[in-house]
Amino acid sequence: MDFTLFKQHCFVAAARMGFDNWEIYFAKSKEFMVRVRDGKILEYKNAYTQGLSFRGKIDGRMGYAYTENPDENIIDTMLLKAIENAKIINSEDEEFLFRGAKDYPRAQIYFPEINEITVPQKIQLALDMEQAAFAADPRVKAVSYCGVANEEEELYISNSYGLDVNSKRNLFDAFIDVIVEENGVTKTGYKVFIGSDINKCDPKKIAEKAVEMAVTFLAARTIPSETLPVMFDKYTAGDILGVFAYGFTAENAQKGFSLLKGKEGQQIASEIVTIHDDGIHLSSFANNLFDSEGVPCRNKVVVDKGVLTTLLYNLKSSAKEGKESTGNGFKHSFRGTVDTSITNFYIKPTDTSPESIIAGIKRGVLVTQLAGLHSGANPITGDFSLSVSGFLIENGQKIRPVEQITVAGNFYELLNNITAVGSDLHFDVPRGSGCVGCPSILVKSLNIAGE
Amino acid sequence: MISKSLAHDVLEAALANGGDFAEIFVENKETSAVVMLNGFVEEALWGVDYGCGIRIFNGLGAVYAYTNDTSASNLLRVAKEAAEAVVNTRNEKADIKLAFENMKFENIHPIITLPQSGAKKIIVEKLKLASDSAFAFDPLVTQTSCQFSGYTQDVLIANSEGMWAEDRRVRTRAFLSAVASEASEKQTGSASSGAHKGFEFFENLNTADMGNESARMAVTMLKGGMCPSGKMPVIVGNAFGGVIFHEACGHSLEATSVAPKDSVFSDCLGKTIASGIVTAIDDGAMANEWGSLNIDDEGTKTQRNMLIKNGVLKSYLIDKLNGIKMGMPSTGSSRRESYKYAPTSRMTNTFIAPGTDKLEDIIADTEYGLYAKSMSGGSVDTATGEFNFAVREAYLIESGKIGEAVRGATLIGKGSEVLQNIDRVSTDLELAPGMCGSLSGAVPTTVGQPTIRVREITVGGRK
Repeated sequence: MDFTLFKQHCFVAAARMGFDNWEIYFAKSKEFMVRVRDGKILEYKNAYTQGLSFRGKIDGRMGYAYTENPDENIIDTMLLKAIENAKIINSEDEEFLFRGAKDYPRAQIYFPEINEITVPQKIQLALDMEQAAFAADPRVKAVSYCGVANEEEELYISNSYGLDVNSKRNLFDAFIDVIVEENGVTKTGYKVFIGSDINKCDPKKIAEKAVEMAVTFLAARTIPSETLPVMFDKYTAGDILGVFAYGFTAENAQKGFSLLKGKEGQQIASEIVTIHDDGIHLSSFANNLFDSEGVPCRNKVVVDKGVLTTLLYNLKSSAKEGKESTGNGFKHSFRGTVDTSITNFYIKPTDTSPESIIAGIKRGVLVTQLAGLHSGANPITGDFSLSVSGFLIENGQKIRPVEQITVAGNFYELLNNITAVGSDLHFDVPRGSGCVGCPSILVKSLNIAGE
Repeated sequence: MISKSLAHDVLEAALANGGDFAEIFVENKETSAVVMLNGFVEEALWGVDYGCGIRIFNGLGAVYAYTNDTSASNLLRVAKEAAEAVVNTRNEKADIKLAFENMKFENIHPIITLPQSGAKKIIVEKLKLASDSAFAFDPLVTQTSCQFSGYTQDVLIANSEGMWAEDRRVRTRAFLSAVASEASEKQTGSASSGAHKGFEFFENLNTADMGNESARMAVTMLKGGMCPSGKMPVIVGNAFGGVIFHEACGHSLEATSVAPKDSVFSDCLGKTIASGIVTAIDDGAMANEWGSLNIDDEGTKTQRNMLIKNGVLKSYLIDKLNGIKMGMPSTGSSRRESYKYAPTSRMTNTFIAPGTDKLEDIIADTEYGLYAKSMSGGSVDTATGEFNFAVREAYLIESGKIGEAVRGATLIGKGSEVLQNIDRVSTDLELAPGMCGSLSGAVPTTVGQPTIRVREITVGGRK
């Protein structure tokens, strides 16, 4: 059934069933991926999906229900389920629908040129990357995951207050994982390219980066357990910031799941740390004009020279404190309830080059890869202990690659112990609604477990 | 879901340009979930996931397309588009069996009430009981999060070999966590339980006990010291401790990485890959177990696969497509999160078999080391075998006795080494439910083991 028609039927049914106000959220996506192996197509994926979520307020409580099957017959069931769900909500905080805003940010988040990239072009690009990887080094044993993908997502939010917003965004990516082997030692490396301009996607460069990453670690060994200064490169620093961004949402703080509760106006990080959250950033590929509640996204200074200035709010958590939403009310997908998420959440770069940070380290570790974030880092407590690899630094020089070590600490202590922030801001692969950005950072000391 | 004649036409369209095999997977999944934070119901959700995936084997590669518009015109269009991607294959068309044969199998997972039909009142009461008992356990407990979720997934699998298989998977789960706080510190504890069962599973669950357990863990860890760093003997507790086998070995036995010879355990059948006291099994056919299925997502009946017997590798976990590459039959291991994923080889209920040692004796026999009583998740690089996993609750062992509780530990190592270094296996086998994320999405898997000791492993602590 067509969306417009489904919406009309839904709105009529919601009024008939006694909802005070209501909203539908419609997401439509297209996905393409091609993966190659040994010069042949290994996987070819093409997909069209859509999903629709309803939420409605009845007796001051919000009920949710969703469907991927937009059949007219499902409308009544869906609305009855939403009523059933609303009835058991007994939260102390009220959820609201948005009445709409006058102005929304303007930015290009849809790139028509991505649609002009033909399937044969994409296949060729994947094949070129694979070939370039083998050509880059004789120790490349396999190119285990190599391909090209593009995604497009359209969103529509429409509610009984007359809010009616929509957006469309897309992105293109190329990715490669390689396995190298020498004298019985195996190592892996990877590289991802995200962008809109295929001309900037150089298959040789991408493949060589992945191979370099793997080959470098063939000679890696562990180091003795000790406490050392640790520098995280722009990728791994972003990985860590991404996990602990959880603590920066007002909803988690209000409910006591964040150690930042009540810390606004206080120094929570070293003075060289300034963190922004902005719906739009030109270097990011997860830009948003509005959040899942239809509230416009905007730029916020979350941490200003180490001082926590604001947490991130949705409509519910902002109403609780008599504030305005910061435009961070996002659903994880159309299925979920409105939560709070980052948009482009990033540490502001300085003019210190990463090389000069390394040059200033007497003895320390540069972390370039980490594993186990989903289990080894606890967003509530701030504790982390992660399997990492990188380089041993002595007297300002990278001495040798290291592996099979862990770096452990607490994120909130780490924030206060950042002694350098680099100039090399990098936005990572989009996750959910937003994207984490980070330059290299240096931490005064962390515990390293090795031999 | 869709008619046999439409399925036939779609398969025919999918193989119009060649290809060796085509398959349709249709899914209708009804989900229900309730989230209670600090004793208040904050979220209640209901929804339907619905769609169809079409897969074509093209030599050793595959084309996959999916959509949630299952009208005849759209499915035929999607199949035709998918067929256009079938290149560099043989010219003759694969045979399509005109008559589908209904696959017969016994449902070994009896269900009484579908989870989405369970009374909301009972859900709220039982979650409240869990939250109240966690708060009552100790004044240090400051937050609770209690969740109920359940779903009914109806699937239809039809293929060009004439298979017509329909099945229903029903799963119900409860997940609790508690936070204990002091000054500027927080620690967490959790408890979860899940089964391939209906609402009756949740109704019979002692959620108060689960609340106590998560509170006890959070408070113990809050009072605990920092875990030391370095290499030492580690006793890994039973039940969710099985995540060590899941990460250190299980993923590397999946045909996904074995078939292209990317795995550390490729070409190792019949070879000793673990210590002689290790026997490990993957069994997708255990009645009502969380990771069980009657048939896998390609319609193959699940079975008990002996992976390792007394240290010797006996079997891999194989799906159809990788089975072609390996020249081996499917082991009923092909799984996918939903119609949005092409299926591939995955684990089901995977565990180390019980040994002969007693937990008390293993501890008494350890001069110094770590007792990782409860584990959280982990991950692995199947090419190098390098794994990591986090410890949720740990204690130091000194002079053969359990000592101080310690927090913040992660264990890292290489799968092949850790398996060889298992030197004690206890009798106390227990299973625990989890979610496993990989190439074909997040699927419910059970991990399990008796308490084991690893002679030496790198412990990443903060001291």
